[in-house]
Amino acid sequence: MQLTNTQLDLIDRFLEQHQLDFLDFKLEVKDHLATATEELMKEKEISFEDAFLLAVEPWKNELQVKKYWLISKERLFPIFVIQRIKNKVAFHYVSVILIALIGTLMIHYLPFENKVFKYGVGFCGMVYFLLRRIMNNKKVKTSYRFQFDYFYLSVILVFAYFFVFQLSFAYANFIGFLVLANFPFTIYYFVKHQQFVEKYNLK
Amino acid sequence: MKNSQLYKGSLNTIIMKLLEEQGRMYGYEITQKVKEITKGELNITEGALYPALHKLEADGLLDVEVEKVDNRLRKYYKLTEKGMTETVNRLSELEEFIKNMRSIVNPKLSY
Repeated sequence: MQLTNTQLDLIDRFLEQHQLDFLDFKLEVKDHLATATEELMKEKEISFEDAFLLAVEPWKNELQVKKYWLISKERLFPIFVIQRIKNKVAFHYVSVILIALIGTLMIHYLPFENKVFKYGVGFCGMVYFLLRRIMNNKKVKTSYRFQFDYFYLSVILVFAYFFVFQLSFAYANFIGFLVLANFPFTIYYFVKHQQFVEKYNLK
Repeated sequence: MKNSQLYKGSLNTIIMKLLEEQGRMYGYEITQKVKEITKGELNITEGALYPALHKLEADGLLDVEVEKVDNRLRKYYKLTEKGMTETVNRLSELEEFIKNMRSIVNPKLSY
């Protein structure tokens, strides 16, 4: 028994109510729930509503929402998503902060001038905004897009603030190194997001 | 998953073995196939299946194909070449493990 578009929309809304809005996770869960619902409707000869309630039962724990400070301080995520991305996010932040700290401590021994450093940070910032523009052409929400933006945008803005107002350069160096160290992660998230959009042919 | 500790270590091998036989499968299909083969004895939970699939995909053992089925997008998993080689290795490892366990649990039957 094939579900109607309205019934599929209801599943969609249910998942979004459970904060499952990243398509790289949502599409798979939606298909799983829809298929299970269809099978139950056929097998037990019950309504969509009853079948859906049964289909969603095994997902109860996975869809519970929680705050996880490392991923975001502002919003909630379902446990299903937290479990999948928390290690990646931890690796990302720890390595970026470590590289930035080492860079800041060693700045006097590094073989580049202050000017080159500033240009490097400026270049990363420009590429970031360019990639951001490309991503924004398609309003596709993925965990990659979230991670692309969440940390980097604030870091770049803080660096720009330090730069414009010529504030304490020791801090500015650290922020600058954060921008540099985060750059490979930015590229990684951008590529993964674009690959996902292409694979799923999303618009 | 039933007797989780015993089965947990074999979950990846179960998935890979099924994909080797079926070519490509989607998440829900895998859970149902396992239930069908084991006559309901083994029930792979969603919370265990998807992390395993995503890990195998990240390790380059599985590849993904996306298709529109019944007005929704469906993600199919299939073994990569690396995955096929790995399946053979893991299955022989599992067979060896079962043989050894049998010898320990029931020494009279082993020869």
